[in-house]
Amino acid sequence: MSKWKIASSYVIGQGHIRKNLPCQDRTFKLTKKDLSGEFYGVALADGAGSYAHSDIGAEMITKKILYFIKRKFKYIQKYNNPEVYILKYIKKELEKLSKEKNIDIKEFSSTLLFIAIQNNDIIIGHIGDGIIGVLDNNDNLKIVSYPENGEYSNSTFFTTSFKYKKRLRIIKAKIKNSKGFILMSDGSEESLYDKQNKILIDINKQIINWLEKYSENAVENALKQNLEQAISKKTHDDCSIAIMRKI
Amino acid sequence: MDMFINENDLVNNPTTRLPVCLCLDTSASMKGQPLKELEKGIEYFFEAIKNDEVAKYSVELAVVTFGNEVKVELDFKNIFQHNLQKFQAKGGTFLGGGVEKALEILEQRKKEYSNKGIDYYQPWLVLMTDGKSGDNTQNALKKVKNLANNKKLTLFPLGMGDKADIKMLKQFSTLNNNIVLKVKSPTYFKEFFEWLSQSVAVASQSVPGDKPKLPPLPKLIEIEL
Repeated sequence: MSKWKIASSYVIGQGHIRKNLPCQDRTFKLTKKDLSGEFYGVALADGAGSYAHSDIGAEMITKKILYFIKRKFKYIQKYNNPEVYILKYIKKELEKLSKEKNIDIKEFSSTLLFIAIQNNDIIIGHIGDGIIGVLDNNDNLKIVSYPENGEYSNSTFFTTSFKYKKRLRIIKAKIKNSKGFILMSDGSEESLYDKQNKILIDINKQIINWLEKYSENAVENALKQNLEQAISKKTHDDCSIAIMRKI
Repeated sequence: MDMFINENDLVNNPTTRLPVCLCLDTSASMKGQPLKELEKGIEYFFEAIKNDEVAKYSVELAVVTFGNEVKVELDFKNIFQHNLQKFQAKGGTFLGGGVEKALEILEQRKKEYSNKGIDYYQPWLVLMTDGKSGDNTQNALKKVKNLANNKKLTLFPLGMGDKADIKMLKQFSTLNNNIVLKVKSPTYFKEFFEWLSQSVAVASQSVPGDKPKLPPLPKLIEIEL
């Protein structure tokens, strides 16, 4: 059974600083060991720009989704079309939050990207924009889930886009030839994803491989520093990255 | 520690573009001061965008005029590549044809963006007239409605002076409650273009989930409901 290291970070964008808005990107990681085996999960969400409380929605959903996938991993793994089941859970949690805070559910809109690994099984989920990439054992970097933007740059699907039933994309697989993953929000895409050629650029490999050599804490510090000093300089949007590496 | 990303290691993606087409009435009634004020307003608009740090890389402008003939005065280009010419005012008001030409070049530009992998925002069409259309507008109207219903176009209609056909402009409007903007005198064109440049700057910075809040209209611009 393989072990994995996880690191993630998010920083506020210049546009949000100017508008006096909070950072609306969030990441969360979860590792657990129990009778079902070892579980490794990481989630990333980008709160919708125009909603003042989308940071709360992003924070809540990144945590809840990983605990949920952890609890239901085997069921989701076996289930033929788990998308509806997972979307139902996301809606229930958003409704609960909306009721608790007495704030309209749309205010908690965000994108959502997650990876969950239990033993040698993997579940990948994606709503909206952002990118999920995989690094194989031969050091080839591929995209497993592309941004879903619609025609225009400032449009995408969110956790609250209830009328779009197919907004959640789920990939289930056995981990055979993969040693690393990267998740990023659209802010980070500006620096790390070549839009014209639709590829993740080489620096992504190095970022994932930092975890091979350094501790999770050290990599998280480095991610934050690089997000602040390089990646966020190319956009006015918030930026976030989450990585996993087999060790 | 070698966990350091140099800016040179990162990709330089093209800036997300906002195509804006000005569709302007240059019929005979615009001759003289109105045309001069319009040219001054547009010049101001171009300069304001050039001076905005984000908009200058994002906004791409085209100008279509309609009088007796429909003419693409400026096709889409980066703002710094434009060389604005003087317009000629003569003849009737072929507004329907002007709008159709504007839609055609907007569509063409979107295709070019897609082919080159350039992201773009929903296009803007600014329609300005001081009179009534002299040609059939049904086809243009149908196309605008179709695009608006699919959230593929924002059309700002501006009536110039009291003779502008507000009822017709209202049909073209894609703004909330189909409002039409109106300036009473050509001397107020500058205020309109000032507002337009600020609005374009806001829209060119929007991110997913944003509903860009446009700046409030100056007092000299009226709203016709």
